[in-house]
Amino acid sequence: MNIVVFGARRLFLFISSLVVSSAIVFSMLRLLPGDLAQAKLGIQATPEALATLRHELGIDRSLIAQYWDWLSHALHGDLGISILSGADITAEIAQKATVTVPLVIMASVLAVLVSIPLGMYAALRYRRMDGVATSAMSQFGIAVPTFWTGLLISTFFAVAWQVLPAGGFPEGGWSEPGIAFKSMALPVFTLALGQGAVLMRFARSATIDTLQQDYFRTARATGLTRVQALRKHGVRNAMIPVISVLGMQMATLIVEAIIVENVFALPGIGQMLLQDVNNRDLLKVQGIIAVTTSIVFFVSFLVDLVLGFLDPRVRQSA
Amino acid sequence: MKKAMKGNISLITGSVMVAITFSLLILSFIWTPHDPLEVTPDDSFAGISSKHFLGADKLGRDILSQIIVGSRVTLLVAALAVTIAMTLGVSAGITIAVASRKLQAPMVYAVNIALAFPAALLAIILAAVYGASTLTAVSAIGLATAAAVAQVTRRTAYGILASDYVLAAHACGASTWRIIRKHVMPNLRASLLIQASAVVSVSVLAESSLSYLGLGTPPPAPSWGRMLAGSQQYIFVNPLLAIWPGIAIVIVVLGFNLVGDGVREVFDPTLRRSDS
Amino acid sequence: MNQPLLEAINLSRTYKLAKGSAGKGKAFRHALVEMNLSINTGDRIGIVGESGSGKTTLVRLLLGLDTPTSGSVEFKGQTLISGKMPWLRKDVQIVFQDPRSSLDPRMKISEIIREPLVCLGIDEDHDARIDEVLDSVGLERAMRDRYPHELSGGQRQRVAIARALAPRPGVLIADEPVSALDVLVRDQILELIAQLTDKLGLTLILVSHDLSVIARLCNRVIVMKDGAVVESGNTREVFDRPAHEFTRALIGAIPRLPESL
Repeated sequence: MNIVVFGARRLFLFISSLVVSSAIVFSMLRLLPGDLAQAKLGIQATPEALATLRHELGIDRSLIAQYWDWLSHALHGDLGISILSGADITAEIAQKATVTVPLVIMASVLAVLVSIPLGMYAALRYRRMDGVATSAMSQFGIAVPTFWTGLLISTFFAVAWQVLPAGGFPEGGWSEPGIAFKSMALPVFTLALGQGAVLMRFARSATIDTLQQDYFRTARATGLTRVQALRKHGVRNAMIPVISVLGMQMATLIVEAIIVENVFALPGIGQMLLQDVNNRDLLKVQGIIAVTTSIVFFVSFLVDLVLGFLDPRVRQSA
Repeated sequence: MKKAMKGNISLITGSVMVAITFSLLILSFIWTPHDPLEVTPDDSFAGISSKHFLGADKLGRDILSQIIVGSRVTLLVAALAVTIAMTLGVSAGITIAVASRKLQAPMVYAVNIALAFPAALLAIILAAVYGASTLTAVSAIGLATAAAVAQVTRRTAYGILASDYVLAAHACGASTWRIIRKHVMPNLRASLLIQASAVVSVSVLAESSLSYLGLGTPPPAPSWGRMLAGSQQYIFVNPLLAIWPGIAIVIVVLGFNLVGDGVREVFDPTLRRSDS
Repeated sequence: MNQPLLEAINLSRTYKLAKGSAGKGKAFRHALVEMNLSINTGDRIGIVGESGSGKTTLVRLLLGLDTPTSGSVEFKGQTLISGKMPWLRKDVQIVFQDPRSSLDPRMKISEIIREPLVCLGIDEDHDARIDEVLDSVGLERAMRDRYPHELSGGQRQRVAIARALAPRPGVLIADEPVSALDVLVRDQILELIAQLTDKLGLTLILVSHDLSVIARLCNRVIVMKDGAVVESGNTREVFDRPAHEFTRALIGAIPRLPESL
């Protein structure tokens, strides 16, 4: 398929997914027993006060009208105003994203960089003790809950050895890059550890496949060593599944980031989201979920494009 | 042969871990060293002793007893979530696979959208609306993993439906329903077993994360995730408190993952072919 | 002349290819083009052609396992529609190419042979019938409780034949029945098909890319190329005086021992 047509189809899929998923989240959050006005004013509120507030909030109109209203504002970058704090939701998310986005990106890059060579190593030595040990490590890495890894890492690195801070983030954010990077180090490492373990399994099985391919045997027959031949053919073959899995894992990765932020007290989107959930600040929760799912769909859109570019077969099966 | 052996090692190790988990569950109904909720201020942060085998927390509650009883929430959530996920996911997956091409596209689309909401995110949304409870955790985990199960089931079922033996069944006059019952389901069985064990692992991880975040089963029922959350503050005072519940979680998750891997290796059809 | 038993009338089948592999626009593959074919009771027809010539498409259409793009198939004057069609299936049965894939790996041999008996509602003692067909294809009755992977390739193809014969069909379609088998087993299976055709008085439609297989079993031959018939007639005549260049090429492809031996 033509790469432009392929891209256009994927773009349509991306945009429609955004609309549909935000509509689902919107209606789920409006199914609240009681309503926003009730939640804000409490049960003792007079019916008149409730009605006035409902009108002010615009929740006395039909669900579809409300959604349309929200969506058209959202498309202009306006996610509304927090019902509880009165702060601008978009601005707050943007500010918190300066913590969460670098966290997710750095962890993804680290996970990819570590998992590909380790996966290839485990594949090359898969009948020997060290290869088996490497894959057992990844099994273990998958089974350990992220928050526990975080807890243990902060105990050792921050509390016992005092090499890096256990949590928090500088007031000035990235204007103090040294401290900011230091506070990011352990969270990034924690997040990358769990993801890397998952990605490594895929890199390993892709490499085992490569080792059995005819073109690999041919390369070996021309006199290349296994490692040389693997460097020539294996890296690309290991990368394709790793990238596509990373795309599929993006939703999980963001959830893990939410958890990691809470372990290390990083003031990012995840920590904010949990506070808003506990405060039942539904409009803000909706805004945050809309932003995170947009990121998830956007990443899978990008991954599709990259894979379509790398591998013509992907374009066919669209 | 070597591969089959390795599969059996995974299967054996995994089964032992799963058996340990279920023993804890059964034990929780028969005997615990102490009442897990019994507060004994004198034993606050007690270390390992003959009275408290694994020590005690700030309020002097016995850790071992809490871990034994904590297995209930973990396994209850996992059992309910796996039931929801497999029932919904398998029926959706098979329906999509046998549907006509025109109906397939929108259903696949819906599953893809559902996949953008992992268990914990869905649980957060539900907790925002209804307040956190075991029910919101179970529904969120069940629904979110159902999407993944539907995806895998659809792909596997699609392969089965495209096989020659299904074509042969059509030629014998078999109905779609008979083909699902007699050909698709039996050939899916290994894949379903693998998926079910994966769903259990994911559920246990998700449940413990939600409990840790305070979005799972509310206190006082002991839960491993909440025990870990509680330990974080006192990690200097008694670091062991942050170890035991984590080990319990890892044993369950690793156990079910290994069983899944073992089943995969044993049932791999390319290994079961006769040597002809 | 009487009405033919099985008849293809202007039969065409076009596949839409995975979108635009050839570039822009929609791509089609014409697997079968305006095919006409009539088969009479007792015929032994061989259909020969290269892979991709439309043989398998034709077989699927004759069995009602696929829907034609245009044209139709009639069996005993009744047009095939999609669906279960027990009236067709009781009488027209098939043996597929590869018995490794055409037998469900999770079913016992007895269940595999029982399938058409149950699905077509054959009013007869199923267990007795299973034993009977096992005997007639030369398999021991003890095989009933085995699974396909426990059998050899030739034994599996015998099971496939037994399944096809179980509902006592009048027409047997064999789609490349020996090309997935070892050379030594091929002869035995071809011999079995020939024997059963004689004994049961079957109408046989044998599809193969190998003319020598067809020459052994069939009295009529149809040569296909690119979804159309290029030549047809009495097997002997086609062999002796091939009219089409393609047929000559196929005949030339039959391996012979060098004269000097």
